[in-house]
Amino acid sequence: MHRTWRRFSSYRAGVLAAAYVLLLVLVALATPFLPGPDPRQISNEVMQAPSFAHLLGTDELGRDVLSGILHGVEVSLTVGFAAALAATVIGVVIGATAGYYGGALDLLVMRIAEVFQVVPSFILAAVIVALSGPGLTRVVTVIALLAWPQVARLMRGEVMRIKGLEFVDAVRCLGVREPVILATEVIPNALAPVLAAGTLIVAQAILLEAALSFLGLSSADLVSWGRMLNSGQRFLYNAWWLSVFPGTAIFLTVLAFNLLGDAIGAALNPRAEA
Amino acid sequence: MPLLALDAITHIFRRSGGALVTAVRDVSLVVEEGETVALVGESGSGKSTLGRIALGLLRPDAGRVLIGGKSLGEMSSRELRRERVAFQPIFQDATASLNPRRPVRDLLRQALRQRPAGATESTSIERSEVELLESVGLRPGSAYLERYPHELSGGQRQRVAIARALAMGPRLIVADEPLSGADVSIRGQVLNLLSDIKKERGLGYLMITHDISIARAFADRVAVMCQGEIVEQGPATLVLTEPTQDYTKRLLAAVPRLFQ
Repeated sequence: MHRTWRRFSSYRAGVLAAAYVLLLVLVALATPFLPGPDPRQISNEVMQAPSFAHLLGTDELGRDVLSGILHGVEVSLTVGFAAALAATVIGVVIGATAGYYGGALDLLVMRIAEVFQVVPSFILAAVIVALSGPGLTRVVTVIALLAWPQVARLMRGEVMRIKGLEFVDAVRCLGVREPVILATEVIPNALAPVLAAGTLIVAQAILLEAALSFLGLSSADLVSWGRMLNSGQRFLYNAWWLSVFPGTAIFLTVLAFNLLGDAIGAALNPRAEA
Repeated sequence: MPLLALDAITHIFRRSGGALVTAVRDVSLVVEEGETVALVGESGSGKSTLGRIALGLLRPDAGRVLIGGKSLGEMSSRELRRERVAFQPIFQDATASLNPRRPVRDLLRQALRQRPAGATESTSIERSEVELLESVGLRPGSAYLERYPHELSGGQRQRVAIARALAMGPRLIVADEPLSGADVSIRGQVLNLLSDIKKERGLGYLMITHDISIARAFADRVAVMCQGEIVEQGPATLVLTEPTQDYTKRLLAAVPRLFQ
């Protein structure tokens, strides 16, 4: 544990990313108490460039951009974490079962996973959301359905490695039932790489949600970075701040989760040099 | 009725390229109650595979494994779980045989929970984690309960693995090179511990080893394995002093004079 933490903290970018993510989480939790105007509040001060009154400017309806970005954190993180959690749980259960029991079940499950992986995920997500209508739950479900095979493949490989180790055989000789061995001996020892993959899925999910919102495939009353980009791009030449700031927010957040995922993966790999 | 009978066991591995390798070919071996049988041979001779088959961890492609006269292959999975606890393994590498995420207390409690109801009737059996630890020479036992495997020395780890096996009140211990993973200084201690356990509890051993000196010090009977087959077996004193097979002679000649 200590060694893992030491390795993690030696990745400067990872520590910085973790700090940034922590900040985002605090902002998301504090959303109802945030100072400043309501991001949905329309005013007369339309298309204001960044100033002291509006640090990041205002949009065509006089809504405050900074306020929009701060409130948008909640949507991005909710979608990111919920989708990653769902994909991880599905992937762990399916991957572990396939890897542990092997045989025909394994073959079937991995072929299904491949089908999900070869489909261009963004197009499929866009089609599903366009057909079934917008809604956060739907976006989360679609992303989770598209991302679980990544986790399942990883989990399957780890479980196949660990099920052959002697400590598993030793517990089998104690007469413990196979499903119990899988749940209490094998899976806990296979979770480390999955944690890293799950963090990367958060980034993918945030990006996909932003892209769907950018295409207008999200509910109109939701304050979301992708949605802000969507309305801002029409004024790209005369109001750059409407595109640049939400874009930067998406970029930094996706980058942070990617760096964090890489750092976690590297820190949990005992063969890596610190 | 022998404790363990391996009856015409054959096991074939499929290499990743598809080639078939016969690891064990038509092997029959019997271990009587309270007897120590050493299975000696070079690495790759199939002795570890045979050990795993005896423990029910591997199904043989042909032949039968009999526990007290009953065939493992004909048991339901529930029956197998109940019967197999009479045979406990001790592996070469105690680091690999203990779940790294469980402290000693958990490792032993897990075994105590699984102990068959019949075993607790015996008055001599240890009733707690601490008693188990002290019975393998880890005193005071309470000092080790909260430690994780990586916080123990190699010898201590092997003792914990032995304590776990003893928790089940086994009638046979299948020890696969139990000393090769340990330092020379620890080997003697662990060997003495195994020999004390044998004397105190009267259980049987199937001792898998490449080390003739261990077989000599420890075994009642010796079976010599070569390329998947048992080429010679008999009383230890006889096989190790007057071998009839060329292979056994060469194996004995390979032992440094010092130990003879």
